[in-house]
Amino acid sequence: MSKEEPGYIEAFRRRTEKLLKEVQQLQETLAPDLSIPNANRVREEELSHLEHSFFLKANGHFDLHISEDEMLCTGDFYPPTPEGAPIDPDKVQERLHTLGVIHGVDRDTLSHALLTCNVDRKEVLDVVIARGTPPTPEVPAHYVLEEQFQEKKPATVTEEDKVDYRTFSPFTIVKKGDRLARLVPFKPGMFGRNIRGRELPYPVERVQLLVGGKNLETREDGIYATKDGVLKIQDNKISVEEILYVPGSVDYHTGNIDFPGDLLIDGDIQEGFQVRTAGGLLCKGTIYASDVFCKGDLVVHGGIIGKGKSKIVVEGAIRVRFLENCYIESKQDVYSEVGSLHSIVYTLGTFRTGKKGLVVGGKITAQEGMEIANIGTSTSPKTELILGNDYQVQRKLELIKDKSIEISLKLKELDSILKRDPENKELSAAREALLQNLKVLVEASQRLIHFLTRNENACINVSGTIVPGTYIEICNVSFIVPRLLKSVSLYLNRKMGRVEVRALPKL
Amino acid sequence: MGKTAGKRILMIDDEVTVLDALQMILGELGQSVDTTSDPFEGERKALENEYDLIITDLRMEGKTGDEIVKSVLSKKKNARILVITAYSTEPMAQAALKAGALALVRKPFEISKILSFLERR
Repeated sequence: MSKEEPGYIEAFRRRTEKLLKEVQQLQETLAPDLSIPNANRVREEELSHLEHSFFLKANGHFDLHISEDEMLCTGDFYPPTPEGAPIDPDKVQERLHTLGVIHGVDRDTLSHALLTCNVDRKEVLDVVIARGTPPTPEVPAHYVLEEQFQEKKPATVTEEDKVDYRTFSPFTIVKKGDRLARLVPFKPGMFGRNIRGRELPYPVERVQLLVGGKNLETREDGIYATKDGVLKIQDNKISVEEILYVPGSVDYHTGNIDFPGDLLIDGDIQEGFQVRTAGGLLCKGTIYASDVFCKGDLVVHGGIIGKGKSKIVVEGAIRVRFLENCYIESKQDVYSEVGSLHSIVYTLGTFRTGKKGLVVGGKITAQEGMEIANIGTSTSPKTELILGNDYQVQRKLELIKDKSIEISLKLKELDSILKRDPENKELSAAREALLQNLKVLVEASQRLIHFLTRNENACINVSGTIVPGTYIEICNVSFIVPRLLKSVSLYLNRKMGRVEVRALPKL
Repeated sequence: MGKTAGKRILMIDDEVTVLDALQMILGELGQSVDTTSDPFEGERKALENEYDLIITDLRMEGKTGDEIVKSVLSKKKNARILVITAYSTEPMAQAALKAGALALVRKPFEISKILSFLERR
């Protein structure tokens, strides 16, 4: 019959139904024929499955396994065939008893496994039906470092997504009162028990037993710093060192340093780095174009090479070998053995050089006076020396002056607008505010001016030479050196209101 | 001690104060500095000894810096000479550069520039 002939589909359907029936019959009769030659190829597991599932009458059964450490008992549960008997829960209990499983039996899991197996006729394999109780270790009382002191501060990422490694520091800086380590209290250990009921001893947890050392105080909840400093951990002993010792130079190995105590640098401070200290700073090398902010004294065995971009601000005194092309501020005396070359120096104390010291170029402002060996050279640029004034007041006055000029210009601009638009209330209010501010600034400058001139006795002693053209100002009175002077003192004659020169007494 | 420590420098300048200061500073930075305020002696030293850097002033009594540059480089082509001057535009400074001086350095000091020339050695 061709596919196109009528009745073809009907005949095909009938044939198919017949075939299905035959296959069904074949399945039902397959079991006795397990001995057929290809049965050998059937894997044992598949055979077992077939036995249980379809063809053989088999009862439900189970296997229990105990782990080597006797902490787990697992079971495999096989369902009965339709004609077979389910697993008897009592048999399972009996087997557990025989195996000696008396602790940690999970009755709910066991019941659930049996139900699944007996009712749903599904295998349940490797189910944990008893679990031992592990021992809880004893934790001795101990201190652990607070997290912020465990990890090093990461380097800063700049706006251009570059990592600024200068901001990375290997030093852990702590402040007085910081809790450096917290107390983890004693936690008793607890015995465990395996599934056969045997007691298991508990271990003692190994912990790092930190001991508090110098500049620390132990309180109920932890160890606290009693001083600002750098955290040091050595052989489980923590301490706070008030002096930070940098064995080499301040560079990419150390990063910038911000230390709340005294700082000792064995090498240089390399260009572009920043050092801040709340105490003194001793640098055994040279400071190269770096910024230094120091609340104590600054001593530099080498010098300071500023390249015109170094800023050194010190609240204490400064002692260096030389200053070159740098900016210095000090609230106390400044001593530079070799002198100052093209540098700007502000001090509320005195400025002094060594016996052969030379000041060339730049500007030195010293409230209490100067002692300099030589000032200027025949071909050097002009040197400015300002004495007797408080540079901080002077700077404030200059700032006030700048702001006052700014306000005046703004007022002028406003006035011309208001001429065209006199009813503009907003602008009128702004004008009023500017006038008020200007008045405040003028009053402030009037008050400050009294504090500007601090020492009319400030003078410059020059043991060597001072070249013509050098600009000197003592308490706002100006003087330009007219000719080469040797071994002189320049001072303010208050009565005459001028700077005068006198010979230095011979020693 | 800086990266340039241990270099030999000859400094020729008739201003003794400048020589003293520079010798102290460069010495502090670890260099061995030979100085003279006599330009003729400076020229002789430059020719007789090996220096990593020779620094000479431009205006000196008897012999100018550009003359020293010419004289030394004509006999020692590898000599490295810096000229210190207050005015880089003056003809003598230009002549020194033309004669082969490495650079002009602001009078009297520009330590970082001197150090950078030593580093390049």
